[in-house]
Amino acid sequence: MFIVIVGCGRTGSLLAGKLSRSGNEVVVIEQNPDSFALLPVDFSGFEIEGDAAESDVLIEGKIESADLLIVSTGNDQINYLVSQMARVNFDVPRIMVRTIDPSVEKMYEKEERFEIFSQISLLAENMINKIEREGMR
Amino acid sequence: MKYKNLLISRYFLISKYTGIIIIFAGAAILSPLLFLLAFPEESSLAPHFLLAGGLSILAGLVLFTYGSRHQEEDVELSLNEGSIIVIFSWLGAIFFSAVPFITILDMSWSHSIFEVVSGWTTTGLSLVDVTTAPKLILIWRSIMQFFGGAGLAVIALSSLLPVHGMGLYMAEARSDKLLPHVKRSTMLIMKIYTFYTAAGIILYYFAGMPLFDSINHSMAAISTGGFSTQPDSIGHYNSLSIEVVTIVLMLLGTINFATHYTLLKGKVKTFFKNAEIRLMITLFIFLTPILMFFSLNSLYPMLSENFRITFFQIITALSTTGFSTISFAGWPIFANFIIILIMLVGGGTGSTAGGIKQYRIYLIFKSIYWEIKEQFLPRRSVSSNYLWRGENKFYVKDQHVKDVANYILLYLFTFFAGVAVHTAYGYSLLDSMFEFGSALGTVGISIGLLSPEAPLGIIWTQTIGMFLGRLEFFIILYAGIKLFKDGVYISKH
Repeated sequence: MFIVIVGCGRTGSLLAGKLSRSGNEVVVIEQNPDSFALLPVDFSGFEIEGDAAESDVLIEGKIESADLLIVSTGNDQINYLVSQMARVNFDVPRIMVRTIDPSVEKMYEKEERFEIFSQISLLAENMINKIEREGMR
Repeated sequence: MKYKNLLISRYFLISKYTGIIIIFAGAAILSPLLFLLAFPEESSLAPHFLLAGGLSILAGLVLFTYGSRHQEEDVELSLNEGSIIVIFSWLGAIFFSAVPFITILDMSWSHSIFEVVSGWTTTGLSLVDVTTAPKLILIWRSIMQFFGGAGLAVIALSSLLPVHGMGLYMAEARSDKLLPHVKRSTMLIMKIYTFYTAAGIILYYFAGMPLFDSINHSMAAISTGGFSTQPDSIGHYNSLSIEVVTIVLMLLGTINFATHYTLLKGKVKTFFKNAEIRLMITLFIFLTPILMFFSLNSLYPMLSENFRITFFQIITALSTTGFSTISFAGWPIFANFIIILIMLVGGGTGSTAGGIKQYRIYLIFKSIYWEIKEQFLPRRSVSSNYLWRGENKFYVKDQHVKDVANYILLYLFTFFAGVAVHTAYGYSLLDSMFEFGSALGTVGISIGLLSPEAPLGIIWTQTIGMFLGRLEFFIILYAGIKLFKDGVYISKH
C-alpha cells in the first residue's frame, strides 16, 4: 500500500516506522527537518521537507496516487486544510485525520471518506470503559 | 552487563544476516554449472565448483543457524551493523569464489584472490590466460561481475529471503531510493539490471558476436566490469557495430539506477537536468576533441578512426568498465594523463561504476561556483543552492558539501599512497598512476604493468585498492572501528 503521512512528530514518526517495516511504501511530509530524526533507523521511505498546506509539496509526495493519507500534525487548522485539499484536489480514497480538540470532530461529521481519531475522546472513552467495566470502587 | 548482552545479541543478528548472504554467494558459485548443458565436455570441472559452492553454503548455514538460535525478535539494523555484514559477506564470497581458480587453473592464492576481487568489485584486471582457460571459468568470471555490479546486499534485499534493513542498503554504497520502500527499490533495480543485460546479449548477438561471448561481454559491460573472453578485449572483433553496442551498454551501466528510473518513466527533461548526466555530457564534449587533436592525431591520422578510438577509450575509462580496443602502452603521456583523470572521476553514484563518482565532482565544482557567486551578492541576500538528483531538486547544505569534500580527499590520499607503493617497486610515475588509478576506480584498463610475473606486493596493493574503491572507504572504517570498540568492551567486562 502507498501511504502518505503528513506530520512527523511523535505520532507520525511512530506510524511511519511501523508501516514501513510491515512492507508499505511510506512518504512522510514535515516542515521541520529536525523531526525526521524521530524516525527509526530502518525507515526506508521518502522524507519530504516542506509545508503540507502547499499544493506543490503534496504533489512532490505523489499524493494523487496515495491509497491512504494520514494527517497527524499537532494543529487542527492545518489538519483540516490538508485533508480537504487531499479530498477535493487530489481525490485520495481514504483519509485518516488526527484531531487535538474534540470539538473539531463536528467539522468532519458530514464529510465522506474521512476517519477521525481524536486522541482526547479516545482517552476519555478508554477510561470511562474501564470504570464501567470494573464498577465504582 | 546489560549493554554487553545487548551487544552480543546484535552480533548474533549480524551473523545470521551474513550467513544468509554467504549461502547466496554459494548458490552463485554453483550457477556456472548451468552452462554444462551447453558444454558437456567440461563436466570434469563440475566437482571443483560443487566443492567451492558446497563449502560456501555450509559456512553460511553454520553462521545462520548459530545466529538465529540466540535471536529474540527482528530488530532494526543500523548503518554500522550493516557495514559489518556487508564487509564479512564480501570477504566470505571472495574467499569461496577463489577456490575454483586454485583447484582448476592451479593459480596461487594471491593471484586467485586478485582475480576474484577484480571480478566482484567489477574491476576487470585479470591474471587468467583467457585463451587456455576453460569455458566454465570464463563464465564464472562474468557471473561474479554481474552479481558484484548489483551488490550482494542489494540482491539479498531484493530476494524473498527474510533480509531487510535500510542500514544494509546504505552500507553497500547505494543510498538513492527509487521507491519509498527498500525491498521494492532493490527489486526494481534488479529488474532494470537484468533487463539491460538480456537486451545486451541480444544486441551483441545481432552485431555478430558468438553467443557465448555475447553472454560474457553483456554481463561484463552492464556491470561496468570489463572481463573479456578475448586477450585483446573488444578490439579483437574490430567491428564498429560491436563497439557501438559496447558503448551503449557501458553508458547504461554507469548511469545511476534512480536516473534510469526517471528516464524509463518518460521524464526526458528531468533526465537531462540531472547533475551527473550534465557532467558526463560536458566531459565528452570537451575531452574528446582535446584528446583527438592535441595528442592522438599523429598516432591515428584518419579522422574517423581517431574519433572512434578516442571516444571508446574515454567511455571505457569514465564508466570504469575497462574494455579497450587498443593498447595504452603506446599512447603519448598527455593522452594517458587525461585517461587517468577520467578514471579518477569515474561513473555515477548508485550505479555499478567506481571512481570518485561524477556526482561528487559536480557538487564540488558547483560549490566553488556558489562561493564565488555569493561573494558578489548583496550582504543580506539569502540563496538556497540546489541541483537535480534522481527526479527531484536536492537542496545542498554545508554539511553535505563537507561530507563530499572529505570523501574526495580520502580517495585522493589513498590514490597517492597506492601510487607511492608502485613507485617504490621501481615503476615509472605515469605507469604507477595509471595502474593504481585503474584498480582504485575499479576500471580495469592496464598500461601493461600487470602480469602474472608482477611482484606480490603490487598484486596485493591493487587487490586492496579495488576492495576499498568498490565499498567506498568509510564503510570499511565504520565496520573496523565498531568491531574494535565492541571487541574491547566485551573482553573488558
